[in-house]
Parts: sequence; C-alpha cells; structure tokens
Amino acid sequence: MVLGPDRIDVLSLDKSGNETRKVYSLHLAEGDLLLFWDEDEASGGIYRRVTPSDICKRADGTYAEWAPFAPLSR
Amino acid sequence: MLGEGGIDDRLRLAGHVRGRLLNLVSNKDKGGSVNRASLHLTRIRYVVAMTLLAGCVTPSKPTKPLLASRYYGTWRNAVPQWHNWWEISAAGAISYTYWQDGDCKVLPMVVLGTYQVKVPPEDGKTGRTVNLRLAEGGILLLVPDDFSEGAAHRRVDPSDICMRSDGTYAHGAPHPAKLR
Repeated sequence: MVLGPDRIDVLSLDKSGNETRKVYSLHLAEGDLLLFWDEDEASGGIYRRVTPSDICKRADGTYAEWAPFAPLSR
Repeated sequence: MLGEGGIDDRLRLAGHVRGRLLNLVSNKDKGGSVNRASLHLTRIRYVVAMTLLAGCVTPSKPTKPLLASRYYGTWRNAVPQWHNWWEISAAGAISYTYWQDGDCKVLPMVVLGTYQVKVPPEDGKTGRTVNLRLAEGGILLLVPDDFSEGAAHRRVDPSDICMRSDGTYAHGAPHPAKLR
C-alpha cells in the first residue's frame, strides 16, 4: 500500500504463513539504484532498474510460472 | 609567441618549416642554387618545431585517481549492529571497524575512480570493487560490483569513529573526542 510519495507499506507472509507488515522508505540513488529502507529494523534492499521482461526470468533465460511479462509460448 | 601558442600553432609551424625544407631540397635536385646556411637553419628550425610538437603529444605523468568530493566526509553503517565507518577525503577512503571489545581496525581502500574503490583482500576474503552511490535522504550506498552485500551509511561526526555504545572508544580510534 502506498503511504506517500516515498513510503510504502508491504504486507507479506513469512515462512510460517504469518502476516508481516513492513513500512519502507524509498531512496533513489546514483547509478539508477533504489534503496528500500526499513527504519524500524534498520534493514533494507538495494534494487537496480531493469526492463519489465526481466521479472521472474531465470538465469538460463527461461521464465518462472506466472511471470507477468513472459513471451507467449508457441 | 611560440611558447604561448596552442597545439594548432605548433602544427602550423612544423608544417611550414617542413614545407620550406622540402622546397629547398627540391630546388637543389633541380640544380637550383641552395644557400647551405639557410638549409641548415631550416633543418634546425624543423628539429626544434618537431621537439616542441612531441612535447604536446607525450602522455603526461598519470595522476592518482580521486573520489568525487560529494562523497567526502565520515559515514557510519546505518545498521547499528554493524560497527563500520568510512572516512572519505581527497586523500582516499579508509574503513574502520571494531567488534565487541576489540581494537579499531583500519583498512585503507585503493581508489579506482571518482566513485569506485577496491577493498583489499583480508581475513581470507578476496578483494572486491565497491561502488559509492549517493541516495536521497543523505544516505551513502556501498554496492559491490556483484551486488552481493550492499550497505547503507549515514553521515556522522569524525569523533563517532570506533566509539562504543557506552561512549568510550575502541583502542586505535582515530578521532576520539577530548575528555572533559
């Protein structure tokens, strides 16, 4: 859920199936990087910009099932 | 004046002198009268001009790479459990770390360019290239080339380096605040 121009609320399930909520602040960085930062736990992730077709693409070039932008199979 | 001219002036002069020299030689081949003193003088001018020209194209002494000034300052890992600081200046980049009651460990980086440093190999770990990236909110990201384990740092005062949570300093801290 979007909380503001640079804040999001992420609801996810942990390995035990429990719901967890985390609020991340977004920080754009040089080199077209994006930092997701969780102020409460002082943790985060660094992402780099890619094309949509990169989503759920495996290292061997194939796509995981339900990948949103995978080319149609013939 | 030659000394104040640019490379274009020097190229023009070299071309002019060379042309004159060839002209004189050509006249000699045709049996024309050649003033030997003039030919000699022209040769000297040619050598001088080429020497000056060579001075323009000789590669200058390589300069030591510098990190961009926007990274200068003292930075601390934003994760409190990670006791790691970076001190960045025109002199280079130095990493400081301490663990529990250990010493303040100093690790100088090798500057590769305006935003890149090489972390030297240590404790069995291989060296790696780390990219410095400024992020919104005054955060400095330290991102390895392979994106394996990035870190986020925030600006702090130099006196923060190797300060323990109880306000005391690890042995070897570079800028301990003076005791009152």
